[in-house]
Amino acid sequence: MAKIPSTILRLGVVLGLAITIAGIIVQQAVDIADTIISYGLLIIVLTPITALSTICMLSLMKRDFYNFTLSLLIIITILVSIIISVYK
Amino acid sequence: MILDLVVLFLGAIGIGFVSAIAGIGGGSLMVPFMVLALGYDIKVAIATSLVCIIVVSSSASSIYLRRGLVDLKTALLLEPSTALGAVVGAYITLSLPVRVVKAILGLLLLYVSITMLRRVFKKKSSLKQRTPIQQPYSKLLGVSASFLAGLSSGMLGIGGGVLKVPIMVFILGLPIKTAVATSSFMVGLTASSGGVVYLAKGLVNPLSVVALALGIIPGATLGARCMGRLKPNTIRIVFSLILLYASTRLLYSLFT
Repeated sequence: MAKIPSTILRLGVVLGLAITIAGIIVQQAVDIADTIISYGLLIIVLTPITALSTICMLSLMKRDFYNFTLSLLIIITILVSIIISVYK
Repeated sequence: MILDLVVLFLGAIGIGFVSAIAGIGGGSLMVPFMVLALGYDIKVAIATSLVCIIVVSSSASSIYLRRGLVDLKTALLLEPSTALGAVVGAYITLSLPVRVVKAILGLLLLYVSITMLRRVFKKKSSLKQRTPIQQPYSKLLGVSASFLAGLSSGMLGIGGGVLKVPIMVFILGLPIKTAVATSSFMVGLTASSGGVVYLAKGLVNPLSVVALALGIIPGATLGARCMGRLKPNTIRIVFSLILLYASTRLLYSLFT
């Protein structure tokens, strides 16, 4: 069960970092560079949550309802914080 | 600006090196370094440090997960309250005056440095010697203590591993290696919860994230390779003294 989340964690931060660096490099030339940087940072920040979502889904598939409920609780907590921070 | 980034990059190599040997996430060094050496606003430093912690802990926990060292059941049990604590902590920091945040960070760093120095001068590791608390409410106690770890993470931009590992060892009775690996996995999630709030408020400095992340990764690799040659206690003493200096300067800056 740990293989997929492990891969997501590794690739997610590398991808996020690469996009952020690309955004910084093209900052002087392209108008949408700030958006690219924001996407890069967002990918980094959301990587652990994506890995957790995978664990949540895998737990459900394996009928491990204990892990499923707890991981869902964490995801809900984080999602609520995202919604509050965006709209407040 | 470029000079600042170069200093940040070089500092991050040092932070990564010390963190790998001392067995910590690095947040407790990153924030004081950015505030005291480079004059960053403390809230920007905290936000930037949190994003950088995600990079470092995700890289480490991907390896720990693959090796089966992470106790997922414990991580998932403790993380909801930790994540909640991180979100609450981030909002507390955003609403508090800078002086108060500096005072809290200064006091926490002072506590961590004194605790580390005490551990160094004890002949055997206290983490190995103590037995976990045996009581029916140990899980409840662990969950409550995790909320405080999350609160400190969200408030002060540290990973919270310094608090999470003792919770898992003393209260839940996990072996130290499993506790460190599980804490590393949890640190990413906790930092993510707080990081989202700071990112939405536009407090994360992307250039600093890149400079720190690119410095910490080779620094930590170098530290891990040198671990066998250096005495861990020597590094811990150096680390404690750096923290002691940082906390003194942060607390002193409140009165000047």
